[in-house]
Amino acid sequence: MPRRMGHDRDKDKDRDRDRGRRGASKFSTPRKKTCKFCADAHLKLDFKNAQQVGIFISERGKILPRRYTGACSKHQRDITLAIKRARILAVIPFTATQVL
Amino acid sequence: MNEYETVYILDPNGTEADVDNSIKKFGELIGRHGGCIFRTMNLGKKSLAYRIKKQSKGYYVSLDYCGDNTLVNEVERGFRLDEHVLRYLTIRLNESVDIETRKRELVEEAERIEKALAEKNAAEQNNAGGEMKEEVRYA
Repeated sequence: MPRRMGHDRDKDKDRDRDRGRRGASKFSTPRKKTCKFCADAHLKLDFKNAQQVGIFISERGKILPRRYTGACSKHQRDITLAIKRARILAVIPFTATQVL
Repeated sequence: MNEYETVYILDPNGTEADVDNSIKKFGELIGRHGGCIFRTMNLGKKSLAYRIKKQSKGYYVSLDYCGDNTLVNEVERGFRLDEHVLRYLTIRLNESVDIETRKRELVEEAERIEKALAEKNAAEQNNAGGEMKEEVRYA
């Protein structure tokens, strides 16, 4: 984060902005996330494709939140639906504890 | 007429021929009840994420068709009666589709995908060529 030491006013501004952000984000500049489904209109999520759906679940098989997937709310809903369909068809597991 | 996609999982103990027979059987069933098949896909033998009916593998088959809601009942009844079907899922893709326009759209989509694939392959070949040239330069 650029912080000019000489100017007290700038320092104050920085401090004010940092107060709103907590944890690791305090030290890094916020990354602009774009929804990859909005960026590419031809990209379609297929619930039959394990590799495609698998990147949106955690190790325990949970659906990843938007802050990890980077999707917009419309496409996050599509992702959720695709994951739920893929689970029914045993493409991805419901839980990580399901043993084969 | 709505457009539906049905994906079902077949017994892994069968062969590819059994899968083809099953596709034919359900295709006829759909045709008999006034439906129209757009495309059928045999997605091959895949391992399941969890056991279904004590099986850990299965043949995935996908059917795209259009028809009335009564047709879906008939098709799903067929799946329940067939003991080789481990699991099925029907989803509605579109409402009130026109058969001819939809068929045309599907053909165009297939062409587009083929084109994209060809371009991708060409790009990869070009890249490979570039790498080759670099190797030559280094040698």
